[in-house]
Amino acid sequence: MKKICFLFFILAAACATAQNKDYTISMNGLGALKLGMNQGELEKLLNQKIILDNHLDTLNYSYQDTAKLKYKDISVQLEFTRSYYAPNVFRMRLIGIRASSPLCKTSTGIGIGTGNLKIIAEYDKYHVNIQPGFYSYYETEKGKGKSTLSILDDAASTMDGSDAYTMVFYLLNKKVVSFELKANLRDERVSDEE
Amino acid sequence: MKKIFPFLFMLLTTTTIAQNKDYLLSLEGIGPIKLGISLAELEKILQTKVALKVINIDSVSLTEKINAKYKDINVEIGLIKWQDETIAVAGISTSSPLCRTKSGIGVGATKLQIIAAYEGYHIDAKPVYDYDNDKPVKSKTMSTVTVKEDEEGYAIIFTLVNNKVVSFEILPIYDDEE
Repeated sequence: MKKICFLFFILAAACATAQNKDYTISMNGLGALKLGMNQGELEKLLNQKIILDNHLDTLNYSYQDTAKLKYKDISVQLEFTRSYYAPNVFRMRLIGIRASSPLCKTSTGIGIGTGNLKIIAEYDKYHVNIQPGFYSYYETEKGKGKSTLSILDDAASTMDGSDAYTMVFYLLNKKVVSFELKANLRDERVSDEE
Repeated sequence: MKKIFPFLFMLLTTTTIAQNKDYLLSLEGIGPIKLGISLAELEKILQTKVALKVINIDSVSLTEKINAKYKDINVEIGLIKWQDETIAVAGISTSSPLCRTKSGIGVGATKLQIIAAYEGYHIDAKPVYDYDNDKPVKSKTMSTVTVKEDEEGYAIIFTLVNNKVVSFEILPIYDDEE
């Protein structure tokens, strides 16, 4: 009996660790979802076809598109943009991941419910930007108690032209309610030429 | 003797309140030295004539920084000459520990104290980067915290060394000036 309990304990611990890794929030992605991956790589990883129609809109020249889908046990919103890897040839690359699942946490335990000051203290050496409302590039959703806290890496802070990453936490009454991981990536063609 | 104590206490309190107002740090300025006031108003507050060395002398330059004594503190004041020829205050900076915000933020305050004091404001806290051959190098000790009421407008930029405020500057920030 003692041996079985021990075996169960090891199995449970291994499962929990694997699950934690699947949902670990970092500057460059969420678990196996890495910013910069292309559509094909993601479809293989998620074992599903990702339908992106908007990026073909030639009227507004909107090169971006989003898809809402399931990653393991959680719902995520993925944002894609055109990336040219040869003259006039492009593929869609992942530049944003948004989720609000309490399963997702950073390696230090920051996730849904974490307070703003704890995040700022945890990322003490980083560039931190705080704005009232739920702020996005396109619009700001105003409202009492709503704020947006962004953690920028060195490239995002200095805009030095290299791949830049930003971790965005949306807070309600100073507690995280959702998050978004964003990348500003160089064109693959430019990267190859250098 | 008993009558003298309340009188002294009142005098002391009144003096302290007046002094606090003189050095009150806000998004508009320090005490009566506000962003946008004219050179004439500034001279009245400083009780001295400001000798301009750039504006009105160099016809191309429209801005100038002057060092001045305001009551018991040293301040650096940025001036700007507008198209209508008027000269106004466009920036104020100091490192005096006498200057504090209403909530007590001043020299010695930490980043977390500033952020907690300015809830609902636009805050940008970042390390200082020096550039070595165009490559940014992050300072290990120096950082700044910028506080604005809106996306654009008047701001306080606190400069911190080892996470403690050592000086601050009040100035208008517009568009992508940051």
